[in-house]
Amino acid sequence: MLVFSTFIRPKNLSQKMMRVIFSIYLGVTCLITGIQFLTEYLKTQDSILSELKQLEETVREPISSSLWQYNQNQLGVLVAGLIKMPIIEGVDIFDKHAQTMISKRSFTPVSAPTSIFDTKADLSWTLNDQQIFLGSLVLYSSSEVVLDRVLFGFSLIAITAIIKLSVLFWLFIWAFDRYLARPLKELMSQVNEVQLNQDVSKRIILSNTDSNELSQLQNHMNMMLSAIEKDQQQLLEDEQAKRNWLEMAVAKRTEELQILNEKLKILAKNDSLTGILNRGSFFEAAEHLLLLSQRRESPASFILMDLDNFKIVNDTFGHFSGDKVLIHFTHTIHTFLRESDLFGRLGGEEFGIFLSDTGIDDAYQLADKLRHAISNSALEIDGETITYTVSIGIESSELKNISIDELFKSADSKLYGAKDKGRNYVER
Amino acid sequence: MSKDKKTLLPLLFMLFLTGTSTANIYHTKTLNVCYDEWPPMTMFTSEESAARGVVIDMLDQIYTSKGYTPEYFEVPLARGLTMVADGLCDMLPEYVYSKNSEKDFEYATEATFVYTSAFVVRRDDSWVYNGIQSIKGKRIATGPGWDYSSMSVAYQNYIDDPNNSNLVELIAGKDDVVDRILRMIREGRVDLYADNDLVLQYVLNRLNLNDDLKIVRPGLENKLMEIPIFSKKIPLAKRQELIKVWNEGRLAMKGKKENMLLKKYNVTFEE
Repeated sequence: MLVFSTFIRPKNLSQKMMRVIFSIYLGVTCLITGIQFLTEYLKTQDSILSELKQLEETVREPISSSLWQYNQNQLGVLVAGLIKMPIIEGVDIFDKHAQTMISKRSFTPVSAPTSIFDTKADLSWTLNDQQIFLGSLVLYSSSEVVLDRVLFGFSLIAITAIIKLSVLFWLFIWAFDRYLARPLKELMSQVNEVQLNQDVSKRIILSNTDSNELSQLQNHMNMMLSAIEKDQQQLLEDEQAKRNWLEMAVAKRTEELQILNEKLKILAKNDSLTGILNRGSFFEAAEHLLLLSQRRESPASFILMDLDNFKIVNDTFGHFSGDKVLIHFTHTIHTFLRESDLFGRLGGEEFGIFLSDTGIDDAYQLADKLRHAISNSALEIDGETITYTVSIGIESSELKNISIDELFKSADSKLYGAKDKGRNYVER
Repeated sequence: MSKDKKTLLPLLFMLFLTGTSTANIYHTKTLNVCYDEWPPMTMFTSEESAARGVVIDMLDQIYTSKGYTPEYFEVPLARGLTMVADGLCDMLPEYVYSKNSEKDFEYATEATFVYTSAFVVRRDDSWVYNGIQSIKGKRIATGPGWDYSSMSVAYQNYIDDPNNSNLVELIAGKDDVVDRILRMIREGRVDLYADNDLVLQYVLNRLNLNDDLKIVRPGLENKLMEIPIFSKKIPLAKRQELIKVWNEGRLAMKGKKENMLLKKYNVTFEE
């Protein structure tokens, strides 16, 4: 039942195609067989008609003789004999006025054959070379006689048709399975494998080695797979190149950002003109170092410097030259400092130095060297020689628990003392 | 009576006779009579009519009056002759007389009928027979083997002559031959027919064709004689007794009695 319903409403293409082909072939076979049946039937009907004609020719003379001689007995015997003949289903004899004289049938009206055909002949007698019309004879045969005659032929045709149909059907199924279904299944299996594994490097290799549509399809699919593989490779390469380019771009941008950050950090921590620590970063670092010194119970010193009469330099030589003086001052001081020393511009022409592990004496010696070096230096700007001096105030923590602000205030106080003492002076 | 029964009866009869002693039959008063149909002389009984014909009526009267009980067997002529020859039948009441008597049977002395022949033609036909030349050009019907044609040698030769075959219609058959021939004459298919006058009268009357056809006399030249035959298997004394009864009875019947019997069948002797 399932097979039948599958055949009636197939779900796959091959079964549908087989159903269509088989249905068409069945239809054509039925039509041809039907035509063969009809031809056989008509041929046999013609043959029986011919036999009826011959029979009619055979009995015409005796019947005519019986009619001529009013020999009812002979007529009755002839008709009885005729009606018993296998091919005759009925006999009618009409007189010259077309009135029925004898009408006999070998069948009853209730079991009349499907179709009846007849042959009709005039009955006459020759008298003095004159034809005297006596009546007519009609012999009937029927479809049943034809069917009886052709039954064997029909059976042969039907059996032949069934055998042909069966053989062709199974041959078709075999051929279809052998040359199309199995290669297609193999093809589909390999295509599925390729599809599921996403392995475009794999190629479809069918066991069918014939050069046919399937092998062409295989070649085309393999060419397509090759094209897909090439395209995929190209896409991967492009993707990798883009990724590399992006990584490079990002790295470059990151580097630039780092540089900028460094610059920003420097800008944030350092003075833009002199490049040394600005006031904020100086105090932050100095506070940290001070605490570190206090934890190690080590002295730390704060040197506060202010350029003497710097306003006069600006007013005399211009702010550009004033900036050059500040830069010169910074470079000069740097040559005397250690790596661990903090040096910062605290404002305008005011600078600070924080010295870890340095007592007040050592700080004084350094401060005085610095004062000398500055006062002994000369600066050439646009053909002008500029000299300047610096006043310095020093304060040391000396193991006291002092804050950086207090240390600064104390140093600032001493700086004012140095200024009061005529400038170019170190106050401790 | 159906055809099958007709053929069955003689066979049953033969079986009966075979199983019975011949001597016993001959010592009884039963008379076994075989006859074939030849109306109005002899005719088979049928559902429509129990009439047996002039000759059977005669035979019945003659032998019954002498204490015999006739038993009748309807058979074709050829079989009837064989049965008489074999002794299965004692007698056959009508057979054409021949001078050379058959070895198996014996004729009675007294003739039953000595009859003339006549022709039948259409009533509007003025033709008369005055010799063989008068039938030339006429279309004649005849039954093959009908003995009346031998009543004229010229007539017999005429119908046997192949040159005249297109004018001679040979009608084969049984008891219906004369009926059919008369209908053919009425339809103009043939012109004339010759036979026993009594037969012609009887058939014309029976078929009610007197308005269309007529009997033309004279017929053929000679008369034909019919006499009953008796089986030679019957012991001589017995046979002679049976023949004697016939001869005497037939003589006694001549004239009035005979005419009465003929009238029963609506026929008369006419010269």
